[in-house]
Amino acid sequence: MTDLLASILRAVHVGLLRGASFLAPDELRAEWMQDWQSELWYVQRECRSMGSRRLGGEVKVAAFCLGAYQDALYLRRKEWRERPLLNQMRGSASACLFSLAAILAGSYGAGFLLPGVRAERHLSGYRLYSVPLARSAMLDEKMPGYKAGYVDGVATYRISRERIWAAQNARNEWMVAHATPNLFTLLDLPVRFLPPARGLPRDLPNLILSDEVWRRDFGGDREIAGRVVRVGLRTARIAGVAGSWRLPGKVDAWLLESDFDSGADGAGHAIAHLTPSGDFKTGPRWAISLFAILLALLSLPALTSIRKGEYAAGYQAPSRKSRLSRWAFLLAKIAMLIPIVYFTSIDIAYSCVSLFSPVSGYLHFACSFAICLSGIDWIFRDQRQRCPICLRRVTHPAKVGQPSMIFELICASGHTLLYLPDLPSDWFSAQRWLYLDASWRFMLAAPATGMNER
Amino acid sequence: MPTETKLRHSTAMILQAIDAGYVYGFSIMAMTGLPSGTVYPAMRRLEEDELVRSRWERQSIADREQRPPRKYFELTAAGLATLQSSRRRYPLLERLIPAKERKPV
Repeated sequence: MTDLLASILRAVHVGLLRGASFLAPDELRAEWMQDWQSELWYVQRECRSMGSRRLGGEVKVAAFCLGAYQDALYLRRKEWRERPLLNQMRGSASACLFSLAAILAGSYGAGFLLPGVRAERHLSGYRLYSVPLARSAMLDEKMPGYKAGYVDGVATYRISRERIWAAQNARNEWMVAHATPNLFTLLDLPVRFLPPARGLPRDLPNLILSDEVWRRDFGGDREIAGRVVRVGLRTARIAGVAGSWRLPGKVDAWLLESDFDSGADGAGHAIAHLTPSGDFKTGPRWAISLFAILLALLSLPALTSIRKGEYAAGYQAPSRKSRLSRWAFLLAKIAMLIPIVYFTSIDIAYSCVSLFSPVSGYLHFACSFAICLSGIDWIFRDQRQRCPICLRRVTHPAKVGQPSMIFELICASGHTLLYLPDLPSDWFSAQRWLYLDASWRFMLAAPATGMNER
Repeated sequence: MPTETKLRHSTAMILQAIDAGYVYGFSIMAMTGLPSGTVYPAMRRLEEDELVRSRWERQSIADREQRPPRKYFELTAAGLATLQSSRRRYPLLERLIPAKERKPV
């Protein structure tokens, strides 16, 4: 192994440690780095002594450096655990709402990263039909609302393999989409290097290249517009380069023909642009989610308990303000669940199934239903485990495994004691809350100690 | 009532290694076969629980031997007691990591 390679590897190892050091808390970073750099020196010395097994040694050193990330993360987590604000937040209502907001933002943001979902958003307001174009009458039949004014524009295309004669007599075979001239304007797809409207004579059909073909076969020539090529038996003039194409079919170029014959043989696609009323009538995406949510709500009582579990063990009851905040918290969770259901189901449905496939609609519906059902189940279970006074999750066991088979959990702030029957009986079937007076709170002031498993 | 700390097997191995004379991070890794991502966080936890204590080697010693200073670990009294109970829990611990001849640190 050359010295240069050894120096590069050494720099990579130090770089890995440096990267990990940013995970460690600021005040500990210098000592942490010194500690790991010192250890790295000994690990490298050990590996240098391995002689012919040098490559294996370098892998060992890299594995050693990757372990630094776990160590730095451990320190960072410890710092978080010791922060009083985070301790206060743990298990609180605001932490729950914050987590839901983070999930909502994540599911919304994920749509921008998933190509299928991006396309779905871009093409909302369109309907795409795969129809045998030989029967042009099918267009009207397949497009509900075409005659009722729900559609304000239709374009068609059909893909076929064509021989291309471009410059220098170079001959290629491309997948060419023969289309009506309004295809790109209807879809509002950008075309680069498009000359001014009067720049090119209209004697020939326009050919629009895909970005891949433009780079591969024309070397990314920016003066491409205006060049004449032969596409099968026709001559066409290159009019520009299109961006990303997300409709069905892999296409190398689009031939926009003013005399495109939708009555010719072969299957093709028709795209209809819906008016706002047409988009509503033909079923927008949110209607699928809404229907799934309604169905989930109707089936919920049969599948899970929707009791809020606010039964008092005695005559005490929380104040009106506490009851109102508990209701507000429940409604806030439900209000955040609905957009989560919508965005997450769209992410799942349109990221793995091709656009406009009928399967995507079913998948969208099934995901909405499943997420909504499990989400509402979780919301009610979470609500039942929260102290009616402070809305924190009641997680501290006060008594476990007694012969009565009743579990007792106490609120960390000492407000309430929750009785949970392990074996529901006629006289004790639902959980009950015992409201504690202030004298209990001193017991919970000190941190709990006990057996630790390290 | 004093609390008893129950150790996982990997953590008990680290304590045993320190007691056996493998007193710095890399030697513990080499002896136990545990990855660095396990050994170093575990040693930090042991130090927080006051089962081990660490000290940096004097810079002059490291300079004399032309190497970076090392961080040495040793068991505290509580660590030794915990190790004894861990040996009862994991009887093969001492056979896995036998004590080596100790060199003065």
